[in-house]
Amino acid sequence: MIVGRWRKIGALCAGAALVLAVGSGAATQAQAPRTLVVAQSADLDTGDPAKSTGLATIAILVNIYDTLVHRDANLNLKPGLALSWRAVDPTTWEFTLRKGVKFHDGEPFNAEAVKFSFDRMLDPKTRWPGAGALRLIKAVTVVNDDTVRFATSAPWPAMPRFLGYWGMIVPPGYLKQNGDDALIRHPVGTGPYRFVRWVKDDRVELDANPDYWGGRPRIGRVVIRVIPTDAARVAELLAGSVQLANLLPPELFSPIQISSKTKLEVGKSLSVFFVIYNLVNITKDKPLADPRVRQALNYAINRQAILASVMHKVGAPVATFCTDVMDACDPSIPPFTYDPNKARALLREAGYANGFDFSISGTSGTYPGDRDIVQAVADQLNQVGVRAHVNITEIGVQLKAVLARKLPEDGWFTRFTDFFGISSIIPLRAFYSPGEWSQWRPGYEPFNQLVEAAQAAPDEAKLRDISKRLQLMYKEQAPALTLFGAPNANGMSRDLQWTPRPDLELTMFDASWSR
Amino acid sequence: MSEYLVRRLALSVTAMLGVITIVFVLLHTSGDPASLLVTQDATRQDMERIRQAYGLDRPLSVQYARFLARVAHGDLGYSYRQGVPVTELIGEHLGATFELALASLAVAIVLGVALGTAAAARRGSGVDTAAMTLALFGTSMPSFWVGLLLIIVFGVKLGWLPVSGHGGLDHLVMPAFVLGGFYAAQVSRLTRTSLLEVLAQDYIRTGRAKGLRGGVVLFKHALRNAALPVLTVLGLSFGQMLGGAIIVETIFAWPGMGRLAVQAVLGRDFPVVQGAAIVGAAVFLAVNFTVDLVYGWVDPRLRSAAEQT
Repeated sequence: MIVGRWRKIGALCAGAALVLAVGSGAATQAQAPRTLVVAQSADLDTGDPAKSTGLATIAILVNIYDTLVHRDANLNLKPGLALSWRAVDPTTWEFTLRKGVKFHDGEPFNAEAVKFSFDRMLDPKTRWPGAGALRLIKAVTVVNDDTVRFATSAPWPAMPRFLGYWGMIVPPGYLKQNGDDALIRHPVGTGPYRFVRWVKDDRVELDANPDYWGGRPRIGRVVIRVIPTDAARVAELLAGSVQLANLLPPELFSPIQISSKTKLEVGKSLSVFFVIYNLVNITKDKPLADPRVRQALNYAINRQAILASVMHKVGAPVATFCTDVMDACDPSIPPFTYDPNKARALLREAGYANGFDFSISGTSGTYPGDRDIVQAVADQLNQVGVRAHVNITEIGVQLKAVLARKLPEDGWFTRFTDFFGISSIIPLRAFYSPGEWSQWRPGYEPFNQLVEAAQAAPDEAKLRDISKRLQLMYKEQAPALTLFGAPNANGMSRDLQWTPRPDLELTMFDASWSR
Repeated sequence: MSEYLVRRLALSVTAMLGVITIVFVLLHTSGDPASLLVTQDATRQDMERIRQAYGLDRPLSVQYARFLARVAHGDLGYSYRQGVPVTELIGEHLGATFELALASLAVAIVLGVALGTAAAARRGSGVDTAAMTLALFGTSMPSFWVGLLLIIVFGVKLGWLPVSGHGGLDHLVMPAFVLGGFYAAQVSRLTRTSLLEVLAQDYIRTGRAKGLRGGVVLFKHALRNAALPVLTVLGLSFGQMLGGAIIVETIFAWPGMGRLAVQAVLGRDFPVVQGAAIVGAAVFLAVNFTVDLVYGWVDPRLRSAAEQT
């Protein structure tokens, strides 16, 4: 994590220096440029959507490819390449496709292309790392040129929501003609932008697709640059050579807020920060085996104070495992209050009046603000008598220990994200005992049963009901120290209009210049 | 001479093998690429499938043997993350690294030798103090800090140079000055010391007594003889620059080898890390080897000594 550390130090120093630079009048900004330059910290991994699940990759590829289902900036589903969809029976979904759509190379889009794309994605030989999310899809059948059916191995009411994020449609003819690796370097889709050029670790250039089925994009040319240092991305923004820099760390918010040329736009978040308790085969004599202790630690945390200091007032405390933008997340359930007296009382009640040792595995530079957040959490726990300390670990090493269920620490500071926007997904990944990442083993059977029931909920009302019960049970059992939503902060040129998306996709079709 | 060459070559190959082995063992014991490649939806089977696909489920010794056999055939494998041959990725990044390294070397030579010579020629004067203070700054200021300062002044405030990225010559100015400036500081101190030593020699005094002009003594006789240690340092520095200047490349968004390697390490993209290490080590050894050859050209005494062995 050397890079992460010096990047952080650099960002802090540069943040201060950039504030000074802005104060004395930064460089003249170019007149509303016709090319929109976006700066990400990471490059495209590949131009082939069936080869990667990387955040930076998806964020770019959504401009080139379409999915069957689209989502607006509040994650409401809307027609994409499919005009409509319906459940024929509990294990069959039927999608009616848009007619007259063409890929960028002129190849027609049809049901065959949908079947081809999904078959290819789910073929083990393709090695798509995201295949796990769509494993319920058993078969895709072409009904006619513009109708396609998905058979699932179990009832899957939430499938359209999943297809609002995964399942970019690729051109079969292009791949057959140019080989299966052809999209890696030259992506071809049906999306609002056409691929022009990719200079590795430098830039991806896109041109508006004048024939886009949704209408011609308002911004004609988009360049996505790769600038790994956050401070340099902000400097580019202030210099006017970049108009959008996404996922900025809290220490760089000030210069953007101060400058008259830029603005900070904070989007809703689908990510929650936790310190997940290590409950793997925990014996009864251990403090964390007692739910009162697990709750006590939650009462000991002053989330607002951490948000105000470390996170520069961006973000909101989260009650359980879901954020307000997720489907069926109950807004009436309040977050744990900051109540150190209650925390001490609960610890006393559980027989730990003198506290106990509590180690946390944290990261540095993996998530925005990670190191500072986890240090602040440890400090606050110390104030109620829990002797907390943090071990900063490289992310690869940390995840290896987590997966092997051999984490040496008592707590795992991490962030869980659900890009599908369904409140029952994070509990499935993070707290459902048989799940790969779960540290709650053997866990709590009623919770596991509710998680399973939520996945099969036949309708929205049922999902809301189960989700509420799940959230209440989560608060009572407290398998983690729940913190707050991860920031989705974007620095933007003032003349750029665009709403940051919770799923972090850089959909430039929705962007426009205000002058 | 040929025996000398063979010995050097054998040493280089051994060093390469050492590098490859260390990188291989450290990588394979420190993290699991499958856990970083999959999403949080992945099941154990998904991860197993990925491990199998990349042969990571086999014993380490088998993986190592296969890897060595492939390298011997010039095959560095495919990137886990990008799905393209590692050789291709390295080829794409090596150009930018060469560009930056050459420009930085030029800065290091011109600035370093000029400052060092000026300081030695005017020893004890204000010029000497100024040059050596500058050199002290150059070596002690961390490059990420200098880089960000330059960005703020010349990129943001004055708007004279592009803040970051790869493109025209103007993109090269700041990164080359930051990277080259660091080495220039070392070179200038070394040039000064070495030159002062040579200037105290008898033949210099003789030259001056013969009535040779100061400039001729300094540039024709002294500087050439003082160049040997400077060359060594320049060679080593150039090798390091070619291996990838991670910090400078990251700050200035320069698409070179350093960034390729760092990203691959963080993502546990084993084939790319191994490839970058092999190429980095090979380039470093090649540069050193070349420097050895250049010694002979600069100092005929070494040439004749090598010929006698």
